[in-house]
Amino acid sequence: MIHCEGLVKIYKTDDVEVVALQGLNLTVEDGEMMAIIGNSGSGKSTLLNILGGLDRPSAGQAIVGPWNLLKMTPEQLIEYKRGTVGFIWQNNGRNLVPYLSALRNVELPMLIRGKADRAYAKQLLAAVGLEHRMGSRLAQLSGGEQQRVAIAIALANRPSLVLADEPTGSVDSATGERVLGIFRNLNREFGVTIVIVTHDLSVADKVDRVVAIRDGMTSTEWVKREGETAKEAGTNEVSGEPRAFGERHEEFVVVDRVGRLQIPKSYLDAMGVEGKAVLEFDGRRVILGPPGSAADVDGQIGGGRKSGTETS
Amino acid sequence: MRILVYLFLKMWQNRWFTISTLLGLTVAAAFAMSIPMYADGTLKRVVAKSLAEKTKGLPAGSLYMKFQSGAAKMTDLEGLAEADRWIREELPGRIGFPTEAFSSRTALPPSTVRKVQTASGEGSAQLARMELAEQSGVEEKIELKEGRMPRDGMKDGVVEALVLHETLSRYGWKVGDTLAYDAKDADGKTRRLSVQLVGAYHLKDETDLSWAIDGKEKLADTLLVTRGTMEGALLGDQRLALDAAGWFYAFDLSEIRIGDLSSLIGQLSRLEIELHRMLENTKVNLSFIDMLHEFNRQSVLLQAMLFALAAPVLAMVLYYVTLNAKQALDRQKGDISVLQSRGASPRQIIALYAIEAAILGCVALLAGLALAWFMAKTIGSSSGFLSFVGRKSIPVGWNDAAWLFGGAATLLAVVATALPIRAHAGTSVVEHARSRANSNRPPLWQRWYADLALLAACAAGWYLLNAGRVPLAGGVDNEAGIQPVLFVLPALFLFAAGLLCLRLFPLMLRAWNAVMNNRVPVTMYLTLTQLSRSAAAFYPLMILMILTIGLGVYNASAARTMDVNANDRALYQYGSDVVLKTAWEGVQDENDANKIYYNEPSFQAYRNLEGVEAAARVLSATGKASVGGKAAGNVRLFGIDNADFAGTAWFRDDLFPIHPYVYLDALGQTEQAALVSAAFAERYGLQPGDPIRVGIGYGNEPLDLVVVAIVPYWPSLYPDESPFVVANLDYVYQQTEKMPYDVWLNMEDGAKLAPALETLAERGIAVVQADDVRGELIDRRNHPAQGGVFGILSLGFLISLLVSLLGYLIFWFFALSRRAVQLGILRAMGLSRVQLTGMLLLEQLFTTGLSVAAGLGLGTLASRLFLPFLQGGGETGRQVPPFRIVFDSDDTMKLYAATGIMLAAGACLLVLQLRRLRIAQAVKLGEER
Repeated sequence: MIHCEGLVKIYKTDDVEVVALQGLNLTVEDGEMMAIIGNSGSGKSTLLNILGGLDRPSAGQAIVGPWNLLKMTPEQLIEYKRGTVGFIWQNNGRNLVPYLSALRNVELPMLIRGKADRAYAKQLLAAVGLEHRMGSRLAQLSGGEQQRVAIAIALANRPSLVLADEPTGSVDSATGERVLGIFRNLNREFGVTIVIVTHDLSVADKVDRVVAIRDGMTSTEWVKREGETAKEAGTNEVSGEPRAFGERHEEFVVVDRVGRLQIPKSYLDAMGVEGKAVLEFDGRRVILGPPGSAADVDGQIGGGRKSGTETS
Repeated sequence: MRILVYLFLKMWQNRWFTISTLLGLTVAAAFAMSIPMYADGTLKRVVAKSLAEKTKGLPAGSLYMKFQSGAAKMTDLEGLAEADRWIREELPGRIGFPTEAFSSRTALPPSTVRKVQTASGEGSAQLARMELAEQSGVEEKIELKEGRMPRDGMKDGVVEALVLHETLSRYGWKVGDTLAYDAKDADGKTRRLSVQLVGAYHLKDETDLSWAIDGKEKLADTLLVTRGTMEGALLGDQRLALDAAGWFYAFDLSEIRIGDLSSLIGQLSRLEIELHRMLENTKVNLSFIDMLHEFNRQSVLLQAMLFALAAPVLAMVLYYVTLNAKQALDRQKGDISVLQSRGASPRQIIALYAIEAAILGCVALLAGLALAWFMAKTIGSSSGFLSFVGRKSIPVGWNDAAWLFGGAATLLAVVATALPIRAHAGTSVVEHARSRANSNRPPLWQRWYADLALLAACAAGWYLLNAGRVPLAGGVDNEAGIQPVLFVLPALFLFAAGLLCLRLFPLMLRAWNAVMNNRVPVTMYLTLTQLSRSAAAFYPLMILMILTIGLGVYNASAARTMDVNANDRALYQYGSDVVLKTAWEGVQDENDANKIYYNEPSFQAYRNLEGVEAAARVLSATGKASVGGKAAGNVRLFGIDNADFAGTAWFRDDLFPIHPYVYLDALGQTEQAALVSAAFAERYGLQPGDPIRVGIGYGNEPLDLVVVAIVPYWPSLYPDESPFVVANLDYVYQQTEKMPYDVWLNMEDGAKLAPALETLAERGIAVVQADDVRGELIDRRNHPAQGGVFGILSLGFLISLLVSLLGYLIFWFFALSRRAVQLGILRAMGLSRVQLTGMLLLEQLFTTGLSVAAGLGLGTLASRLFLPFLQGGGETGRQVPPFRIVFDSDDTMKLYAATGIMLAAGACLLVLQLRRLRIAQAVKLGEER
């Protein structure tokens, strides 16, 4: 569904130039439900905006379905936004027109595309559990309800891709759970590809695949282990159960096409690596260390979780 | 259709913006429409006046067409019949005005007639030249004195005819006589007809309009036959040659309107062509097309002038509409970017807003109609700047131009409303968020130095005016006609200078901040910081205020200046309220018929007249002056009684270096005292104390005078045309024969002249001529162009005030809700509500107060710069007394009052709004919304 390679986005103002994405690679399969995590300023929102057609990438390759986001004409971009992608923002001010009722809000994207299908709009609202609040205006809805209306809006034109920017950011955890539940159902029942951007690890815990972005590049990837996926599907687990992220996922470091990878800054600091490091290859593993540490390699490397890291 | 529901919800959500935009659109449409409506109504007045003036015997709407048989022997009878039918049946419909009178006449060539010898042998040698003719409308409008009406057709070679009773007696004919009439037939042979007089008539009403062309004099020489006789027997059977046929119409044009003019002119100019097509040699001898052209020209001039006066205000309304739309859009930015990111194309968004603007435009046009009617009435009832009188029934009319103007203004306003959307249509959520970050750039005009460029353009315009390159008096021939450029250019100047002030505004704030740094109370500190950081946000409002006040000041003083100077001119020309010329009895000299000894009527008769405050004898005569024994040309000798003159004459204080009474007093010092005009004194080197001799009267009797003072002007005297010498009347009469003098009257306010004249007549004074300046002043005030100018200027000011108020309120409401977060933070930081209110009021003082001050200053400056050119527009050459620029304190007070009320209302509403604003909630919602 999504294929990004070497994606670059540069923001320019009069005197500052910010490289938000510096050669990002990302592939998302059809019907996948995945999450992107990262710190503030890591470039995850930029990526999402580019995928949503709200922003143009500066260079690289970004292909969503049949569309090449880099080469689209403005007309094609409009067509793309209308038909292919649905967007959910963290801030409801961006999702909803406040003076319209929930139903009218859902109908609005349909109207923009052409014709409003009231029955489908109602069906969508029912699907997010809001059949009783259709006539309510934004101010009369709670934050969670607004978020659910936003999901319905995003789905109004039957998109094949739904992008959600911190969908649970401004709601309590129970509501967030419910929102995620809706996503999962959509993903399962309609086969919609769902990309969630979040910094909430508990959200990331509930998806099949998680990609971390650091400094404008994908750095780490977690894939749910086989058994976990099945178990989860069966039990439809209850919220509130405290569980650390990563228990059900396997962690990989991402190595790009030309062999670059990112090493977390904390590791480098711990090793005392500055600018230069020593790399050793023993046939099976690559070992990285500070300059001058090559001799007594074997015993010291690893440090806990790093043992699982592998080149792919 | 669903989208319309969305649109209406959106409009309702932003209802304050919607309403204020609607108001702006309505005002624009109404103001534009009111001009042609007023002009149309005024035209009726002009027409009525012109009709009264131009009527010389014939009614104004007279149309006379005549067919004259030329060389062609045979009259085209079919053509004649067709033309006759067309003129009778179709023409009135084409003209479209009620017919006041119609007459048609068909006549054979006149012939010398002689009474045929009767059996009794009583012959008559008296010859008469008569015309055998048929005329319409005879049956109803004559009264038979004798005999009977003639019958159709010819019997035994005899034609029956009527004749005017006076003619009967003039030629000594009797009813029943038969006359021999020589006519020519188509082949050119002479045929003798026998015409029997079967009746005599006289006209029921000689002043009937139907007799306007072929009236009594013509009828006196006419043997009147019936139409049947003429057409059937004479022209048809006998194939007699026709001499002429004429058709006369008098139309009632009193209901004429501007809209009728062009079609009417078209019809009339086609008339001759049409007639010629039907019947050759038919000409329009009398038409009122010239008058219509004149009306058309006048109305176009009037409209153009009024429109030019209104243009700056209209531009301001449009600016307001744009400003309003911009702020509305700023508010809706969020919604627009939501639509955008859901895939709405820029075209869809523009279309959405264009539909909204169009709906508003339609509503505005309809509402504007009603408002325009009211405005036109207001224009008609104005008698000066911001002064309206209850004039009865000001006619106001519809015409196409009203629709055109209104439509154009609405269209322009709609475009102005929809224009700002272009900038927003392409913004997505992301760009929206980003644009918030760098909104503090200086506006476009500042970066492009548009203000300086405009100012330079104005300076160039001023220079051209000053150098006289722009013809100011061309084209407009009535005295109230003024050059539009004198109102457009100052508006431009105000705009440019206003922008320049805004450029200086932040610098001033910064300087103030630097000086007062940290030594001001916290509210003032906040205000200054806020203003200097976001000065650009206040610019639109400030420029609106500057323009409103500036234009108000300029227009007020322009209207007042025009009025006062025209009044001054008239008053100076007359010298006092009323100037009477009386008939003097005189005795001719026995030896010289040209020399007359006059008897002075008793001046006592002028005392104690009703409504007359004072009267003065004023002698004005031509004399030959000589200075030091050398001839110094002709002078006008003015003989006055200084005490009486002081009470009656109109003096303008600034005409003289010292108070005029001082001169009069000097005149009284010695009987030979004289005042001379400055130019004359300079030319001959006269100083006070010099002797001067003036020869006046029939015998050129010398009059020795002593110059006591030199004056630049004197009431009713024009030093540029002829130098003058003012002397004591009693002394003049001592030295020379008495000559008739004028009597100047100073009337009480509002007193009528008629009773005074009656009393004078009773006292035996024969008044030959009485000139009342007040009548002229009233006439001029009632002149449509004059009233229109005042009306438009006043209305324009009121409208700009309204627009400013609206702009002000909208701006502050918008600013308050936009700054709710900031205000909330300030409150949370511990600023009391009073302090917050104080801060906002201070902000207003700094922005609005400064704008008002700048407006007043710039308006005054513009008046001083541009108003002197107004004198070029009036009667050229006779600009005495000198032109002066007037700032009436009444006008200024009105201006202050109106502005003050507006600002006070605005401030109250703001405080109210501030109380309503739920700041705590705003803080919670954050600045995204």
